[in-house]
Amino acid sequence: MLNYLFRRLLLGLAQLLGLVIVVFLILQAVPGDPVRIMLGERVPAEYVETVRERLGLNEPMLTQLWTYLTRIVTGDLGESVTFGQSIQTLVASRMEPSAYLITYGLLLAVIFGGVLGVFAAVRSGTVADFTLRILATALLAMPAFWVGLVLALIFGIAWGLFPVSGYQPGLVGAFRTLTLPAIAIALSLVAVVLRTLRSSMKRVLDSEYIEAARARGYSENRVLARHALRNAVTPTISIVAVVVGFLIGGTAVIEQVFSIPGLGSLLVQAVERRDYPVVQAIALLAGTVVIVAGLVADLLQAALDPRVRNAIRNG
Amino acid sequence: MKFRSTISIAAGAALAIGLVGCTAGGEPTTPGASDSRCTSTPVAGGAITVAKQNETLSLSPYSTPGGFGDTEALNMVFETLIRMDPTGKSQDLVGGVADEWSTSDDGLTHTFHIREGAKFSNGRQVTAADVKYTLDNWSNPDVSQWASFARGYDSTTVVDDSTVQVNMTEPIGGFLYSLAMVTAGIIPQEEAEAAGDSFFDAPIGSGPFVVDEWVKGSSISFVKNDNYWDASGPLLDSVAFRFVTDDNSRTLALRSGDVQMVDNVPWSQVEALQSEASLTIDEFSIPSWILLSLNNQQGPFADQNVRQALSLAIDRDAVNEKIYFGMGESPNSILPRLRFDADGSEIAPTPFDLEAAKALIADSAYPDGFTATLEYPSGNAAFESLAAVLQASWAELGATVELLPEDQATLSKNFTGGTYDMMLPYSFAASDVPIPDEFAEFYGVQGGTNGFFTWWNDPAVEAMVLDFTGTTDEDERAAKWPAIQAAMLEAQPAINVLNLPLVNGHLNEVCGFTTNPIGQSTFTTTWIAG
Repeated sequence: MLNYLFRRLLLGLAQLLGLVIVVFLILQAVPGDPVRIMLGERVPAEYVETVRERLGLNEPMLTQLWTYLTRIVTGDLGESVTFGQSIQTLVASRMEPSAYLITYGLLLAVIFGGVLGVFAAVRSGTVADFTLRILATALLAMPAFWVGLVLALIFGIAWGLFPVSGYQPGLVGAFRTLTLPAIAIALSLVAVVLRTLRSSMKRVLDSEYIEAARARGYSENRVLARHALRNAVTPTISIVAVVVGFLIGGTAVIEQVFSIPGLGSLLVQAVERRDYPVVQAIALLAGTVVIVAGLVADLLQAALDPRVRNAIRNG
Repeated sequence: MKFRSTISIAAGAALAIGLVGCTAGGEPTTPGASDSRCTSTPVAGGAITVAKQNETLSLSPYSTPGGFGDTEALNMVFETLIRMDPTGKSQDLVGGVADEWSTSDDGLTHTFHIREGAKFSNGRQVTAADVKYTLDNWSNPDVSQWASFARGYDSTTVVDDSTVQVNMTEPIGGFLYSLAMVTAGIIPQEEAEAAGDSFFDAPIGSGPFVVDEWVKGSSISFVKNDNYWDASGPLLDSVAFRFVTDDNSRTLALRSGDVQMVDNVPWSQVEALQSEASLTIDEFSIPSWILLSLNNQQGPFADQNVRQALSLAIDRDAVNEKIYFGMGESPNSILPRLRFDADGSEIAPTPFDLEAAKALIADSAYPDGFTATLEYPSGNAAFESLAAVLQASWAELGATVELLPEDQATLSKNFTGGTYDMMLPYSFAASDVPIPDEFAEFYGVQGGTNGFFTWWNDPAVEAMVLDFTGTTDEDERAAKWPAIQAAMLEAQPAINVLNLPLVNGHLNEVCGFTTNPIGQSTFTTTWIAG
């Protein structure tokens, strides 16, 4: 088990190193100059050059990459050109809204997708099942930012239930301000959860051991929860872990639409302003979250499924 | 066709005579139904939340990476020696920290008397030492990114506690306006030196408001500065800016009542907001324009005939009506409307004349047309339409124009690097001062910005510009400018598509809102009707 964890950790680090290098190369390929963007077009070119020199942006590409790598190893993420602030401070100050938003969205997606997925599997073939699947697919096809604007129009303007933009810290404030954005990102994910859970649930429900459980006279609820769901849920867990990555990407747009000062809107801003170290830091953080989510999913599967447990144990 | 052009010339001229002549300023002209709630006597107290397009990234007058987002906030907190009229009624300078000032006849010394009662928000009187400290930093490129606006500054002499003398290396006509830019806001020396870099996280200034809370990335709020010298001072107790970059979200926030005011109403939503009974849309005449830059180093654009033809082929009246709801104005300058500008009767606005444009193309080195690209900011609905109109107009001249919507950083790179053909480099272009000096130098004088990245230069115009910017007497300046305005319009290094106002929206109960002549919000006279 420890051996397994150690190997996963090494793999994770290698993935992160690859990520940093790829992001670095992509950023180099994108046209744009952070210093020019910071200073505007109305200052003389010579002055722009002086500032570029001061920030080390005139060094050769490989030197910059090496400097960056050696710095992050020591835990120093550098300084933001745009915000004139250490990136640790900057990222930390933007973490709360995004963490709440992703958790909230994920919870909504898993709860609604889960309940509806089981429902659709049990009622498989009925009009209800059919309608649910069509509806979920339709929601999946709608762009989240558009869904967000529609939600804001209905719940914010017409009914006045929630504010249409901004963020208030704390649990109550977060609930008020993040409900619409969380629904916007959850809606598309509900379809993913619903569909995977429905199909695996259906397969399990047709199997002989469910037949056997029913034959023993267990209540249908117990059959569903203890026997069927437990076996059917593993593929959904893997999918949810992958989906976390998409969620992080999705927050970038949604945070922008709802003016939430999170990592997603910071990322958009950093890309717009070519603030390379900030983009790097957020990519690194998002990568870590995705890798950890994958690991947690594997461990969760192991806890639920003895076959997975054995596979891990035997290396 | 011929008939239609004549009509549009006449209409264009009439419009220009009507509008170019009047003083620009920040008093709103309200095109929608005027609200009766603001007719009673202004009352003090209350708070306002404004959804702002541009985020405040810095509260340091030395460094403004956030552009308008920074200068608007700085303008609340800091005050300059002399100010652009905060009511926007005139383009004249009015007192600020200084209540009296004078310039020597040779233009080499400016003397300022510091207003008794001009205090920082901590209650300390502004002294001559603070002014010297500020101006020395402001003019130092190692400290301030705005140092190039301090051209001509030599030193400040402290005459006594309340008098300073600014010494110049050469007379600069626009120098007092540079001093009135908020980037020269007076900074308290002792307090700034004691706090070090953290001073600008919660700066102490002598402006009408004080920073209350700054939640980076989200909002900034200000409370009334009780030590402000002007007793009639701010009426509001507090003002908050919420940063809402997304155009749709900003107007939604106003419609839902989350905020009481929004800036930069997107053109595509002006009509929808005007139709809402609870809202008022205000227009402010500021030096803002649709800047269409031409790369004069690049093939066809090196040819003056081609440049003139491109401008003549634009049906500005149609663009104005269809895309800008008639709020724009046909220009008679390549620059926005500025002080000293000759009006439409002296210098006619560029008409829409396709025949003349075709004749110019026939005389040019490109009689069979040419191929070029037009780059513009992506995600801007008005510019999408405008670019399509321009493309179609220029097709009539035989030009095949490829449209390239791009993000701001790419535009900036290609613009300043000179790797473009034609470009609308800004979603919102505006002069930093209401006088022509800034952009006259950008376009006219070599070096620095290379003719504002057109790489155009004409030694004769350059000499005229240098003579104008080196003149300090206002009457002489007024006499010298129109010739430059005409020469630049003739050479057409870049095209002014339309002069545009600043468009804000607010709930009807918000009264007395003004901007200064360059469009910076001044909340000193704003009040909330009960």
